[in-house]
Formats: sequence, C-alpha cells, structure tokens
Amino acid sequence: MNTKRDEHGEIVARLSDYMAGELEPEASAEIEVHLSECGGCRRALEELRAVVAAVGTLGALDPPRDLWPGIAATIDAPAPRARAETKVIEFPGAAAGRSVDEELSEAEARGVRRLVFTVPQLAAASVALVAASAFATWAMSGGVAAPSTAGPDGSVSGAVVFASTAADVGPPPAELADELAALEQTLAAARAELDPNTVRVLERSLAVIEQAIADSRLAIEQDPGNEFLAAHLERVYERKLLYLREAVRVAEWSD
Amino acid sequence: MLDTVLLVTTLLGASPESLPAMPGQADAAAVDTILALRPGDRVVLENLTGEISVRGWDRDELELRGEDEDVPLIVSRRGSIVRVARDDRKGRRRGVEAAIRLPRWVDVDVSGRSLDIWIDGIDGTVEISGVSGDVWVENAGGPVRVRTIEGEIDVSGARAGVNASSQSDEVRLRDVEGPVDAHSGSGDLTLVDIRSASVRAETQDGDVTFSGTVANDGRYGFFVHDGDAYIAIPATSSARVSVSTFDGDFESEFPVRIERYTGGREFDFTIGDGRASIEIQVFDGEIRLLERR
Repeated sequence: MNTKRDEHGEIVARLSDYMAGELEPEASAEIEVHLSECGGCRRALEELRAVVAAVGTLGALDPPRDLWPGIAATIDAPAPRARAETKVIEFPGAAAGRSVDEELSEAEARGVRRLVFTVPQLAAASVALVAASAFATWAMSGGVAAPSTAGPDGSVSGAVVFASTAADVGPPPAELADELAALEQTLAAARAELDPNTVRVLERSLAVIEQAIADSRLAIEQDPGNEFLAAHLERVYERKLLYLREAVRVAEWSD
Repeated sequence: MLDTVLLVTTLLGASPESLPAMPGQADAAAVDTILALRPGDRVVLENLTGEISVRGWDRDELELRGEDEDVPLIVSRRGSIVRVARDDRKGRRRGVEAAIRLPRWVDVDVSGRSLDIWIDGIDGTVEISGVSGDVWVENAGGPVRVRTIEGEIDVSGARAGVNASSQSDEVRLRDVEGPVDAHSGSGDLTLVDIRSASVRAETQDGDVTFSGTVANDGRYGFFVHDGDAYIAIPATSSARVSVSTFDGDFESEFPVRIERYTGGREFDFTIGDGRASIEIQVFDGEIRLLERR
C-alpha cells in the first residue's frame, strides 16, 4: 500500500552506497532517475554529502589517543553509601576532582573527531529532509503520530496521577494501548491503599517516562518521518509498559 | 502444606566483630537463628523493611543475626522454599537490621518496600525487587536480577550476567561477565570492565558510560533519551557501529567513514572487520566513542 513511501525510503537508504560508487550501474541509474524527479531525495543527498564531508575531514586527523584515560580515571566505584549526588562521574586516584566535561574539553583541544548535530542544523535538516522522510517507512503501526497536547517546551501539564497522564501526551501505540490502560486502571484503583511515599515514588518515576514521551512526540511533529524518532517513541512506550507492570506488582505486595 | 516452621533460635552471644555488616552499618548483635539448608533450596527474604546483609559462607546453613534479641523476623520452610519474613507480632512497621549467612550455592530472592540490601558471595541466582532502598551485590557466581523503583544499584564481580533496573536512581555495574541489561528511568548507568557478548543499556534521563570488551558477533545497544553516552571499547575492536541522534554531538576516537546513511542524524560505520554490532541512540545528548585503554 505504501509503494511510493517505500521507494523513497529505499532510495534514501542507498544514497551512501550511491555516493561511494558501490552500486551496480543499473542501480545507480535507477537512483539517478529518481533523483531527477524527486526534490526531497535530492535534498537528502545534499545533506548526506555535507555530513560525509564533515566526517571525512575529521577522519583524516591522527587519532587522539588520550581521551578515555581521563574519563576512566573518574569512573572507579566510590565506597558504598559515599556516592556523589551530582552527575559528575568521580573516580578515585588520578585526576581526582576532574569532571568528564573537563576531560572532554581538553580532548577537543587535542582534535578529537567531532560531528555536531545542532538544533539549528536539525531544523534546517528537517526542512531539507521532510519530503524524503515523509516517504520513509513509519515504524509504528498504531497511529502514534497524533498531535501532542504537551506544552511548547515539551512539558506535560497537570499532576501525574497514573491513569490521567497518557491522555496528556496522546494515544499510545495500538498494540500496547489495552494493556497500558488496564495497568493504569489497576494502579489508580490501588492508589488510595498505597503508602503515600510509595505513591510519590511511583508517580515521580512515571512523570519521567511521560516527559520522554512528550519530548519524542514534539520531535516527531518537527520531523514527522524520522524513523529513529518513531523507534525511540516506541521504545519509551515499551519502557512505560514495563514500568507499569513493575508498579502494579509492587502495589500488589506492598499493601 | 507447611511442612516445617523451624526456628532453631540460640543465643550465642556472638562478638560484634564477627558479624557481617552492611557497609556503613553498625555491626549487628547477638540473636542467631540457624537452619540447615539442602541443595535445591531457595531462600526468600519476603517483603522486608530496613537493612539486611547476606553473605555466602562455606557451611550448608542459614544463619540469621539481628541487631538485638528481639529480631522481628521469622524463618519458615515449605518444601525447598525457606522464607525469612517479618514477624508482625513484633511490630508490622518496624524496620529490621539483620545479617544473614547462607551457603554460597543457594538461590536467593529478596523483596522489600524500603530496604537496603547487601549480598556478597552468593553463587546461586540472586533476585531482588524493591520499592526504595539501595542494593549492593558483590562476587555473584550466578545470574543477578535487580528491580527497584527508587534506589541505587551497585553490582561488582558478577560472573553470570546482570539484569538491573532502577526507575529513579543510578545503576553501577563493574567487573561483570555474561549478559548485561541495565536500565534507569532517571539515573546514570555506569558499566565498567564489562566482558560480555550481549549488552543493553537504556536510560530516559541520565548518562551512559560503558567500558568493556567487544566480542566478535556480540551485540551492544545503548539508548538514551536525555543524557550523554560515553562508550569506550578496545582499539582492536571489530564492530559495525550504528549511530542515531536527534539533537546532539558525535565524537569518535576511531576513524569514521560513513558507509550507510538512513536519513536524519543516523549513519553507520565500521571498525575493524565489523563483526560485532554496536548501536548507539541518543535523543538529546552527546555521543562519545572512545578507545579503551
């Protein structure tokens, strides 16, 4: 049914081989014909050339062979119950007190190969690729592209109270919807019986997942055909399902 | 049918220094319960609250020591299942501080609402499930599976794989062999000295740091929603690397020549002969592929 979309998706997936001259003449000719008729795929090719040019330049550098030791020097396990509260990974011994960011800043100065995808570039790429990506295979089959009701910053409004949250970020994939709804109902019913601290913990954890869903939906609105985003959203929903199963189990033996 | 409710309780007056204590925990004191265990037994620490340490030893016995003579735990046997549970007659809400020693070969199940648990030197399977509280597992010869909603997980010296998930805190694995599946909802994942052909690490809000070997034909997946991924592998690795990001940087100490481009911010490249598969997906954050030294 999606022949045209599939064709564009296949072309995009073969562009790197086409650029590298690794396709058979017939295949190259087929792509060239398609490119002559398709602005979206031509823009995808231009984007790919820009990415390859950037990486190719970086790849010509001598390998900087001293990035990891700085990080490794910060990883070793602190004694139990003495863990740092911050996200700076601290390692005993050498380089005490140095953060990963500090180590990486030094590494950058030494010329680590770097490929940067910034938000402005992303926005530009979204425009450039929108035609091609619109044809790409949509990984999820359950209508996940419904508009999000999350705020412009991706935040989810309202308190997270188990069952109410899913509606705030749009419908889940169809294949997960029934079980998600059942689990949310079970948790909502158990809520009054649970220890308040347990409820707080469960809701806070669920809020993190809901935020990830809202973020993903917002991104998909910007780049509707992006397969990575579709797969990412699906994975977050699967994670939500696993979490709710765990939460229900906890609720069952916590009362 | 409950075939035995066996409580061989003896006041041994053990010296505090002889007791296994959780890191940072004051040594437990004197009340002991000793129960003979048989191969095939499974010890279940059921719905506990407080601080428990479990240590493997060379005797085929369960030994339980509490912080005082009125330890609110009861030990019972039903077939091959030996349960250590709260004794509600001594206070339903009361937390427990206890040290348990078990044969190394035994399987251990632990569940708790608010429980700090330390397990050391068990070669059977170890399964831990809790709502809150921190978990430490050391020197595990069998598979380790840990589930907690709120609490840190720290596993070191595991020889048969680790499956660990904390919804809201950090997961740290160190010196691990066998399959690894690590997840945190909103915490960092730190996986160091991992020797495995199957690694999966996923966090919604946190960083992933991995340092380990890459097995030929191994599969390695790192998935981050909001955070950074630092992946360190040997310079001699042979892997096909697949990178995807929505908004972030990619840096590599390995030569990168894009071989396949699938649109957006997704590309593949090969290190060495490309025998293993490494997948790195970061929604919003940086990706650093580093040489492990």
